[in-house]
Amino acid sequence: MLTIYKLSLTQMLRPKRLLILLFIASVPVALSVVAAIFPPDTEDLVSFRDDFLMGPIVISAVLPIITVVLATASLGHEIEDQTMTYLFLKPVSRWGIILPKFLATITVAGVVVIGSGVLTTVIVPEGSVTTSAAAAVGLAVGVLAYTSIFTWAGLMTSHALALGLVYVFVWEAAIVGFLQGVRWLSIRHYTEATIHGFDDIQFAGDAATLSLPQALSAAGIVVVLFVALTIRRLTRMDVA
Amino acid sequence: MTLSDNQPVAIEPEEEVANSRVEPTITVSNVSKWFGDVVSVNDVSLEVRPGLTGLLGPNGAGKTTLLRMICGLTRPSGGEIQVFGEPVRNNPELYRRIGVMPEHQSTYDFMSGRAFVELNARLQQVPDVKTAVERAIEQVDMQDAQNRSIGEYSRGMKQRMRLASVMVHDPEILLLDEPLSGTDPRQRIEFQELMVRLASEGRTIMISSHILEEVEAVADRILLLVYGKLAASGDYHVIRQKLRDRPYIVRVGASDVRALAAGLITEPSVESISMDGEGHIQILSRSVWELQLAIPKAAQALGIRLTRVDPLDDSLESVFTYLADR
Repeated sequence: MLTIYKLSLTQMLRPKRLLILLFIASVPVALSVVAAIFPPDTEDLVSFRDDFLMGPIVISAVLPIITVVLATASLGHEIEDQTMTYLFLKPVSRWGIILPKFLATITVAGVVVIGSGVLTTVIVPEGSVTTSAAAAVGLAVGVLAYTSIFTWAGLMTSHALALGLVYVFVWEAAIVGFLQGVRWLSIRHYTEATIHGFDDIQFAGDAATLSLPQALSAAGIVVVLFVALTIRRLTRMDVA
Repeated sequence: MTLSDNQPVAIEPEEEVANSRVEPTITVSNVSKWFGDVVSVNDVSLEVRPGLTGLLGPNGAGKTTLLRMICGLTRPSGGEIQVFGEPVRNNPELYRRIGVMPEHQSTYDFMSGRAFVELNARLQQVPDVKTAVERAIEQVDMQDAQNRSIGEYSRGMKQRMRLASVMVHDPEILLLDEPLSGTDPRQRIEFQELMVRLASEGRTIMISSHILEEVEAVADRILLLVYGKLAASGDYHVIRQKLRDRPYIVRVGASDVRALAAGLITEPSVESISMDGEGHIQILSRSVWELQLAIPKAAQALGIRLTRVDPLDDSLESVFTYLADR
């Protein structure tokens, strides 16, 4: 498993892709530096951090984009370019392939996304250790949930990345924004609710509609369900 | 015997009969595979024993699909496959004893050749990775280029390094899909020598190819797949003899084709002669060697100038179809 984990990390850390991901992750950090250099009023600063940097940028853009890009590629690209056969034809069970690939995605996405979120909360004045820790835990929940869904999606279709972006920007950003009843089906809201549960951040002035236990339970169900679906799919599928 | 009879031609000389007493390592029983409405492999049954077996057939005959099913990558639509008496599908432990080289050329191009072989050794949980990697790379004569990136390799070099990766765990069964693709003549000879040596050590080696000559030098036995059906199986040399006996059609153009036809019709090598719509004659012969001497001889004797001599059905597909229809 360690061999596949290292292989997956090497594939994900190819310089070109990594630079693009780091660029995306650096946007909120750069904006928080600007806010630190030219600080507005304290109230505005908190609102800028929560309602602009953390909500719309880190949670709604950096987290899903980076995680969806890495997760859809982790198995999907290997199926597409047929290198997956080298793993399938080894004395390794299918879950023994999925688990290290899943962990590698979480490692890279986690470091980049959580790093981006934590740095953002640290650099903007008025932050606290609790705020940074809450951001780290919430983003970790988001990374786990997105990774499990989109690793599976990468196996199901070669258009997983496009579908992932539609999910993020149409479903989560638009539809769920208007229909609060379907927030149970939004990873973004699990993330926000987790952060809100650890620190009283009110994203866009809107109290989280899920409690912390609800958010963690829902995220847990998503992770277990989609990891199981991924193993099932990988066990049954024919490989070219 | 035709394909519609659904029974392959079995060509079993004495050695083949003796070999049949050895337990088969691969057993394929009534296996079919279809993709939507397209039948790729149709009710194939065969047994493969230690030694070198060539899986022959024209492109699209179902060779790759059959090999993928044998190694468990693809699930049969019907029938059963066993390797060492066990089902191969979802049985990863079997891969300790099997080495598979797929037809596709994809590799992890960002790695060096050595790193790629080493990766395969580690995934196979080989106890002494360093020794196994060096042995495998030496077997394919890639020591000099082992530290270069695979992305920089020629097609032939990539094939050799892929072969090293397949052999790194010293498997008892080798399934190689078009392994000689992209290799040069010297590499082919070396590859053939290596395969013969590995087979002589008691391994089961199955090589698929659409090129008869690639398999001719090494395979003890061939399996001929045509249109997804097993058309013939048995000793290669017997099948080769049948190839020599197959009829050829040769088209001949000349200054006076009718006179040439009259002069050739009595030749023993000529079975029949007909005219085509373009003013040429088409000669059916079972002895091309004799015919190629008879045509100029007759033309010279009759004072006729030859303008063209073309074999009409020398395509590989016609060869396979001929064998399948025998």
